[in-house]
Amino acid sequence: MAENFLSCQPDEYYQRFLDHEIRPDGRKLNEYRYLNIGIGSISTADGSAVLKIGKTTVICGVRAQLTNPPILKPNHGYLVINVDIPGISKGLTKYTNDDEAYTISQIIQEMVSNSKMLDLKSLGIEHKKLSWVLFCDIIICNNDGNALDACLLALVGALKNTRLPHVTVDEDEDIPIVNSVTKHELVLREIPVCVTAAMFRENYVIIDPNTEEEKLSSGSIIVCSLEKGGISYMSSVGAGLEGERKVEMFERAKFHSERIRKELVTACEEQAQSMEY
Amino acid sequence: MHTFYTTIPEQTHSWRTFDTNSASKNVSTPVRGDNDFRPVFFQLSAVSNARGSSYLEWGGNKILCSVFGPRENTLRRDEFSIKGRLVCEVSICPFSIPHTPNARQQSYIDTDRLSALLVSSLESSVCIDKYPKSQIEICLLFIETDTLSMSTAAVLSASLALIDARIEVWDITIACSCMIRSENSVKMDPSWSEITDSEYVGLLTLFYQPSLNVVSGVECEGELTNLQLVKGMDSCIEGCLQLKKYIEGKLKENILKSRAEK
Repeated sequence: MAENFLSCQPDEYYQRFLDHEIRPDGRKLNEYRYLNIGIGSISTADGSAVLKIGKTTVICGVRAQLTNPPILKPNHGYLVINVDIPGISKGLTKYTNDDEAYTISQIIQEMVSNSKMLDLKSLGIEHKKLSWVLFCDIIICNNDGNALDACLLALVGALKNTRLPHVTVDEDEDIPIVNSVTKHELVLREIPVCVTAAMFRENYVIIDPNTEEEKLSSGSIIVCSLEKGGISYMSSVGAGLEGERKVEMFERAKFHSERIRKELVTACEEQAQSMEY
Repeated sequence: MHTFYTTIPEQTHSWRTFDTNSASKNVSTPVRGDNDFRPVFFQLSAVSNARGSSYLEWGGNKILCSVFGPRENTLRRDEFSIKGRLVCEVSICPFSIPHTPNARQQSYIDTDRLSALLVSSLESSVCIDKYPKSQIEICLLFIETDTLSMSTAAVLSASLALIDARIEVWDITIACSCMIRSENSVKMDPSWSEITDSEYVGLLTLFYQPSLNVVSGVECEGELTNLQLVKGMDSCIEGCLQLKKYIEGKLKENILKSRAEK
């Protein structure tokens, strides 16, 4: 009966739940789904993370490679971020042309570059000769809403897990010498965490929407916050919120991102400790 | 600022090719008997978006596979067909291919060839007559691979996903590979270190439907005599039967578990 009601009149169905400050899946309006963080589980990558928010599953792998530095900034390296939604999450991709993956990768690039999380100078090895390029491939395996949050978290987890070997340049022959016995971590100055919320008819704001809620919502708010309370990216699409409610939204986002950041950091530390033994 | 992050360098090299300590990193693999398989682990319903899905770990491969459909036929929309169509798409994570340089290891994988192989070996086991005008989509993602036994693991994960999707099938298609040595002995399910170390002659991959007793595909690599080929095929069929027993047991366990939960 409830299923028929949902498919015939989804708006009214949701409205009845929201009036009682609860969602059809049993969560409160301000409740995030269960997070599951797996760090360093892919052995072929230099750094990796598998992240689950509820049923949404995202994998991120980092491949580190050597290259010539950019001409204009000869002591910098590269960070290349790419998001892909392969067939397994929505069926054959040959016949559909979807911009979702492109949109997510653009937003994530903006979040990462605004937050100045990774100093690209630390990826340079030898002036004008050699530098690192980190290919970060984010793959959305299962999309049950809120893929953006999961993608950014997976990227940060994978970068925190990345270990680079020690490299010097042979001056006579001009070839790199790699010593993989000692590896060092990347220096991450910030841990950006983004929180997405969906709006329902400008009255209700719900954190961490699933696919159904994303489809029905009238707009979405994305807030990407940093460790010391700064905001590196913020967007509000669709029906807007009033000024006061926006402040309330920031507070909520900050609350959630602090908790999520703690979970991510402990997961990374636990993995690093288990590698030492 | 943003455009700076998106620039991609033209030429890159793996740092492992310049590594001075690569030889010391050989990981010792546990010794197996000639008839033993590497451990197989699978789980059903791993992707909630799909109608049915599976996650498989076998040897150096980790595969996620999902099945969609029956959906509207996208290829011949105006044409009526009484039979359904099986379509397959294989994608590989860019970070899934190992960097360790190995003489025979591929760095480029032909995914189109792999998906064609999957379709041809699975088509005879799926009851496509029961899905007129429609197509069944099988999508695979290699999360990790050793580039060696890709087709065997792919076929197994695809047939598990078909079962999970409750698509009507005549039989499970099971795949198995074996290595043939110069003295006519056979080793099941070889890994890279075993292929390069011993007297390797050829590699045989076989797709088998045990209940129908049908071989739906054979792939052969290397220079084999008639006797070696027959022997290899016999032992592959035996291996498939062995695998079938294990998989059926696990599937039964799964069903009992889900019933108990209800």
